[in-house]
Amino acid sequence: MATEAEREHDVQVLTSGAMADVWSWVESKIPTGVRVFDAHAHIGADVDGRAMTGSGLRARMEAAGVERSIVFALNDPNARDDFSGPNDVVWSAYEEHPGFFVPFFRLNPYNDYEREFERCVERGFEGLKLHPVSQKFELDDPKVVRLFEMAARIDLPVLIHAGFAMQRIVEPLLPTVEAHPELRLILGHSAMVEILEAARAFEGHENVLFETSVVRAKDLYVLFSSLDPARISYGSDIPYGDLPSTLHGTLAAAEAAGVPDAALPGILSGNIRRWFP
Amino acid sequence: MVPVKQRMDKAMRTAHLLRINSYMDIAIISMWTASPRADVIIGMVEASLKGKGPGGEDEELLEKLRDLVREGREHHREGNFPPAMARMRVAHDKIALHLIQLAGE
Repeated sequence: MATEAEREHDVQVLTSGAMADVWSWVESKIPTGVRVFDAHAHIGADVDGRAMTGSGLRARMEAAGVERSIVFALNDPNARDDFSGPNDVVWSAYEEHPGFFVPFFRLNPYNDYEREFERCVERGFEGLKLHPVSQKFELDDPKVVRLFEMAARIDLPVLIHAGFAMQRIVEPLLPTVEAHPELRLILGHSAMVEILEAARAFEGHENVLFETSVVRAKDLYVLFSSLDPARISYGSDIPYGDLPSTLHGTLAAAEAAGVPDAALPGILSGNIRRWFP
Repeated sequence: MVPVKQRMDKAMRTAHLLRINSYMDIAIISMWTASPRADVIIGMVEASLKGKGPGGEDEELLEKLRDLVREGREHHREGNFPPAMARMRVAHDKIALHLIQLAGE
């Protein structure tokens, strides 16, 4: 785990050297008074060796002027059956850093999830994170559809990984969205491999948000050129992404696509704050 | 056939930038997957950036890409993934959006 000094070093090297003018441009593009909201970040440890602590994430947020982040567990080696341990790590960070984090809990739909779902909802978690690649499930698996229904019933937002390594997104998800238009759904990484198809399919579904973390600018150009920017929210995917480069990608793609500056406060903050004021 | 030093139209500029963009694609994937060849593939990106682009009109962009990729490789060699990937991601985004803009001119 990185020391505090190393974390400060990380923040500095992300905005210096060849990144200095990139960061200056990003800062100039963030409208005055906008409190940036990161809709996708992780706390904990992953089987691939990556890790992030609550204090490390907070340091990065403060250095980059980000006010709040939706946080959830990584694909934790200690997830066991129900993700209760990694979910507790997220909750502890939420309590240790009041006001910084919006805690989501994570589940494995193939395991017995009833008790952990109930425990996390009662505790106050504000959303559910599902990762079809890490937990090896399809979005139209009956166990997953049931989880979507449980979330819709109690108005609990769900963020799904819809990024790297996904091969089926729109086709398995659309029936659930059509059956439960009240379900508040965040498409992590904007369904990047099917980004145009997803924009077309979910355009009329106001409760589906597209989240931009680590999506390449050329994909985001297509998204910003195809969908109302009020449906798009900025994300970083820390520790896989970082705040300076993901802010640059989102803002540069929006500018290239001709998104008006008046829409930037929504993309950077207001669109996701409608759900988490 | 147009002599190599004289061709500088948009098609030639696009072809040159697409080459660099493709090597960046490969380099970033190799970094994500922690390939043991990631360093040499970033080196291929650096090689693709050598010399002026056709006509020199894209030189401001190319100079920025050279700086980002050089620093990205240095950080990657030091095992410092976030600043390495940040620089490669920005470089990749810059060249992609430049190509889109070129196509729309």
